[in-house]
Amino acid sequence: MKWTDYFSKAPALWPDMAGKWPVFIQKVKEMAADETARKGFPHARLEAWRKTSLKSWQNARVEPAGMSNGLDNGNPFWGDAVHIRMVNGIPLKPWQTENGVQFGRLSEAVQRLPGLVEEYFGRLHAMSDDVVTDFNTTYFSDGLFVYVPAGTGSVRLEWANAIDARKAYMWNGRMLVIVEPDNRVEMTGLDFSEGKALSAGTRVVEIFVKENAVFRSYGWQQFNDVSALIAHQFISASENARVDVFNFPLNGGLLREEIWADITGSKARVNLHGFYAPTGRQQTDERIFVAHGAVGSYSHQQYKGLIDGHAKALFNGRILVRPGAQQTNAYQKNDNILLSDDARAHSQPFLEIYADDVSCSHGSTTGSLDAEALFYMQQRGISHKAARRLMLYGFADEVIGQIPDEHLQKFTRRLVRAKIDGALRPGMDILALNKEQNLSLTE
Amino acid sequence: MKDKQAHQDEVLKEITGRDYQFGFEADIETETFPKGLNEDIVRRISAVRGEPDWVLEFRLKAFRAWQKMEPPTWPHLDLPEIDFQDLIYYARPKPKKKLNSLDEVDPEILDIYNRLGIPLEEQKALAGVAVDAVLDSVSVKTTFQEELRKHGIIFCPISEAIRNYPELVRKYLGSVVPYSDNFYAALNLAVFTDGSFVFVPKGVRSPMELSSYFRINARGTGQFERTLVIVEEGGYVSYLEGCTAPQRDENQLHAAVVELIAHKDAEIKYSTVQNWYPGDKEGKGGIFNFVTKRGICLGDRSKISWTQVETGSAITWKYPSTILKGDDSVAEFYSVAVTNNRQQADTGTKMIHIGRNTRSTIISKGISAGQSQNTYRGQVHIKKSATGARNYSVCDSLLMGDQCGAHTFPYIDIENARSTVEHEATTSKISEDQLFYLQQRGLDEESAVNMIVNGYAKEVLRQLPMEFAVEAQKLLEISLEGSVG
Repeated sequence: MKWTDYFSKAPALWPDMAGKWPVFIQKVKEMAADETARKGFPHARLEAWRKTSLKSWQNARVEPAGMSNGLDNGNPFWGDAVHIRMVNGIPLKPWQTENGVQFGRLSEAVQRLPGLVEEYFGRLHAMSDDVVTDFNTTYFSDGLFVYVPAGTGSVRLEWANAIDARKAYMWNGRMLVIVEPDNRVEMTGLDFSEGKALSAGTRVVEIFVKENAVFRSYGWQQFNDVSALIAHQFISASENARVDVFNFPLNGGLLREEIWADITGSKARVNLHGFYAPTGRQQTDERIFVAHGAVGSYSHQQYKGLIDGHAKALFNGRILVRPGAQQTNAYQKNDNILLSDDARAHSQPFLEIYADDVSCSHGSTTGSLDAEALFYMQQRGISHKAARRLMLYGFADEVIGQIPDEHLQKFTRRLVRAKIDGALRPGMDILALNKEQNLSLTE
Repeated sequence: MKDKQAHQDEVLKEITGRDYQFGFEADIETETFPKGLNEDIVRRISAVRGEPDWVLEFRLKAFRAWQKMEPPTWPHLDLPEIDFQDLIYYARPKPKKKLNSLDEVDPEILDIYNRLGIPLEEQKALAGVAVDAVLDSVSVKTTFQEELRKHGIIFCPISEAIRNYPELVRKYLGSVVPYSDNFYAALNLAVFTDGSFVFVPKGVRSPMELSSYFRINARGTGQFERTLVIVEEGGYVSYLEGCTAPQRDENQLHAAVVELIAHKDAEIKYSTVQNWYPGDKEGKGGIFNFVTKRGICLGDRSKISWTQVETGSAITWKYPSTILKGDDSVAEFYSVAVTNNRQQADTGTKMIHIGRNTRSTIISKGISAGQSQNTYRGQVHIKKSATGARNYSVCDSLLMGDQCGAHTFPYIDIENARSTVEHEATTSKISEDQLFYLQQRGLDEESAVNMIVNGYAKEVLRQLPMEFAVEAQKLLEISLEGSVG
């Protein structure tokens, strides 16, 4: 069946596809199914989809992905952390408690921690009226649940999600993460596809960061060129919480990430960073929404991109300062470099402000590599190719350098540099990149 | 500190609570059509103006397209439902015999100008400005035409241009803003009743500023101006447009269209001071200002510069735009938009770069007070062909009071790798430090705020021709001085 048909026929199809759920989830799914059918497949007349083409996926025939037995998920982890392996967005192992963190499949969580799931599930996703959120809510058959109870302290989670692209599948991942007060959580997530077929993926993530808690997340997506992932991440930041999100869409036909950060507590700080470098006919969309709803909160968005080939990149950043959210400081920065005559960049840095005692600003630049800087380096004996690389590396490093963890910084740098050098191929062993790259200045 | 806050609030209340100073209504006999819009009304508008068939064809085509169109819903505006069948689409002062001197002008019309502080004679004498005064829908007075004619410049009501220079009007009317462009542009073409026509021939620099004062004067009528400015190779013209309108309770629709065409090496400077009735403090009444303004830099090295000072209207929907088609052409947009009480504005510009090495600059300063909503919305589109294009945009917002909103929605679309686009924006309130500094030096609060706001808007105000800069500064003061949040 075509991917669009799953949208139009959602009310009829979902009961057989979404598995068995408690009544409160069934109800949410039922409503979402109706909304999905009512809104229909995303189209270019919608403001949010005007610059994004879904042509390659719209009429593609896809089957719902199951657990894809036999798919190898042997990706890299970095030692001392809670490891979660997933296939098509579903954890492989049953329920676990490790380092105080309780995690596993959402379908198990509703058995073990029903009160908690009912309290938090679907609480944030209403921020978005985009059909993809409804679609995902309708069809997800399972997902990842993570609970970090009070008193856990500092913990690191690493998940890796293998997407079955041996055949044309659609998959719909779901996550619910609850971080109780005063904990420090670092979560890394790597998505990668196995196979050369098209895949059409969605993911909805709801994250609750409670009072005084710190939550850092890092994402890398490494798909084949015909796969799409539309991910909506909803984050709630309570009083004095700190949230840092880093996203690196590395490879994929369409990598669209939406972040909806809801600042509900005073003095909360939210930092969002991203670096994208689409090539060929790839598209990347970063749609970032930060809503300040409390006094004295802070947010910063930093998104940079290199766009090459016939690729297209969109940045849509929105800062909303709600009435009464005084002493808000909110910043937004988007920089793009176009590397080819057929590349396109769309930048929409939006501010919507309903309080007066605020300091908000944004900046956006788009251009080509600075010819004078290139010339300057060449004058000093650095080859054109090396000078160009140096500048591109430096451009990317403004984002990568913000990563507080040295190990993750190095890992990301290696991946991003490989992407810039055209050395990052879908399906390759990322561990092979594990050695330092030397930047030769004279090649 | 508390006391200071209380005092500030008081000053704010006092200033922002001021009523519109220019509100009064002149009683002029008006000939009007019945309410509503249909093909018959369109035909009657055309007939009463004695238009040739091709103009009627234009109108009917636009009207039929308009019937199938929907008003835009994307602006950040809380729009009341407008019943387009409840409006009167044609009203004009009763035709009088041809006028040779000011003495023949209706004394009431002259009186309006006098009470607004813009006596026609004085302005003529002092500023050397040719004034084409439009009262409601028919131009009643044109001055300095003789002088302009010596230079070969045509400056007349568009109805006259249709009669006397049909080939020119036909060639350019709707060429920059086609009837299919948007709901209000289609409506305008269907029912436009007047507006100005300017033609500057090759190599001529207009010896004077051209200005046209638009008034809306008959209860319940919308005004649909159509302005067309054409400057041929190497020519230059500076066109000024300013408005004040009588106070009343009914909302009024104003949907004007302005088209500018700049040929090779030509330059057009288009300045607007808009101070239509904004409605009262509760948001009752006021003008709806839904305007489509667009210019095209058709020839190489041509230049179009928009400057606007927007303080009036209940709701403003306006994006003076430029298509930079000629190589090395230049476009500028300077804007100060002030909203107070319950005013809403969604305004900005579009810069469409097509030619090589085209350059555009956007300077937008928004000021919101009271419970108003002030939105900047702008697009910079660098097309694939626009190699070497540059854009620089600054959009700042100033907030005065915690009930208002300031919003910035830039759309930046780049399709050429050898172009450079920079955009920056800030939103904040008036700095306490600056206020304190000025007050320490003996300025009262109101003057201090005034000085800061004028400084904030200066980059735009200094783009205005002298006569307008004075009026604009006065407007800013009336709208906002002393507003401290």
